[in-house]
Amino acid sequence: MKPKEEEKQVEIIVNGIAKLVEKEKLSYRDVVELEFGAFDPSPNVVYTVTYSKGIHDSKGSLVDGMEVMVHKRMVFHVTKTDKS
Amino acid sequence: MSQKLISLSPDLKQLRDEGYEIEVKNSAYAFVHNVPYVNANREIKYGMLVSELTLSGDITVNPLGQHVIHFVGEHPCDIHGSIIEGIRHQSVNQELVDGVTISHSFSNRPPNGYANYYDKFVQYIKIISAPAQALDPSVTAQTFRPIESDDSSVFQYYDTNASRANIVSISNKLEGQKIAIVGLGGTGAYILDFVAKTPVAEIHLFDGDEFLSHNAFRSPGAASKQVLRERRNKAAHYHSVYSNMHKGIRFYPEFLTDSNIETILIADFVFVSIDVGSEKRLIIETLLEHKKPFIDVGIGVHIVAGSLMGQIRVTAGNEHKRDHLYDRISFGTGGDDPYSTNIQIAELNAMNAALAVIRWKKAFGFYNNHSLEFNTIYSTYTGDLLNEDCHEE
Repeated sequence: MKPKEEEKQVEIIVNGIAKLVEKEKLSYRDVVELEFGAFDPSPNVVYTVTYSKGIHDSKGSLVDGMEVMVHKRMVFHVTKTDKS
Repeated sequence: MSQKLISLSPDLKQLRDEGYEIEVKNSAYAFVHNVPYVNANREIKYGMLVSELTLSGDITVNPLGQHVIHFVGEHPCDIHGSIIEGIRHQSVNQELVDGVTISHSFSNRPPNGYANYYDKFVQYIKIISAPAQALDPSVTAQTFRPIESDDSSVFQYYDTNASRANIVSISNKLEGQKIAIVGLGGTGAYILDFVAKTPVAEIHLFDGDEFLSHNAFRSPGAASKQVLRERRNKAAHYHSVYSNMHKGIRFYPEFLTDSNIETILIADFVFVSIDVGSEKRLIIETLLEHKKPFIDVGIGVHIVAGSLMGQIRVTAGNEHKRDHLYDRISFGTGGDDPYSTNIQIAELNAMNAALAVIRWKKAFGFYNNHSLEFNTIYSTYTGDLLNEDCHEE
């Protein structure tokens, strides 16, 4: 891989696994796809998507329709939170 | 007996806070029960000290005019079995009040009299209990015995945790509420564990499931094999356990469906701690329609490289803040989802419950509310606690 192309990608961590993604914004749906391979468009299914160590050490959560700029070694956690 | 009266007077309250068995009768007498002393046979016995009580507007009048105290029991002796002459005053059987017959009176007057009832009782207790403690250092009048609560109280015994910490007025902000907990799995049971220790009027428990071994491993307390063999209904089981402490617990051994959903409307505030999306949707839509505030909870745990990773979510909703609910709460069925796990761990259930109960208490001014969050997420992996969807209560 050419050095120039490498700069366009950045390593992030999704549920403990390192992944290489384009250095651009990631949406809620993108993060779910990265973890589960596909996004279930059923309106009943909601994932809890959080991130940490973003740009300027930002942290927060993403819901459907939201996106966040990725950052080197940014950490994502995505699960359903439906057990009690 | 009136614990309220004791709470109003700092000297009586201090006796209660320090574990003495103080009781007030007819607003005219104060008793301290189970004071150890030595009798003439050098045996350790337990008697009751009785003092007249002078009140003004329900508060004790200090300093005291009367330094003499009465006693129900044999005359206290020293370690050799000789009567403690220094306090001897009168020995007459006399009925003071409601079948309480005093047998002796003692007199020990400090130069300036007694400043208050605490000083008076403690001085006499020291004198008569010292010989008993010389014979057996483990005896004490500070028994910290559970105190009968007033009939109007929701508790089976007096809440000395709140009174000793002087936070009764803050705790009372939760009084009178009718709470419902829908679902008594691990998280719901921990919610009950916390709510049962508050002075809410009623706690309504809904669950149609049985209480089984896997529940025991993610619930408060330590269920016996016997209890698990009985396959009790969860709501009935927790009703019986927590009624040891709180008088206002009611139970419904059923799931909520279209045919009985209106039952939930008995509550002023609802904790929703169930997994089934369709039941959750019915409950939340019903609560929104009737403008009832609620908190929905949930956890999600999965395995990565041989370790667990979990997220905990607390989502509050009310008539003023509801636009976040369908972005935060999953109403899926769960069962047909290949990525779904049912890993639950007691401390995650407990933390989910604790965050939910803290959030509920914030809404009623028990805790200062600065963050105004309607959604909270904790991740064991990042360690972050996120408070979002902020809105005025």
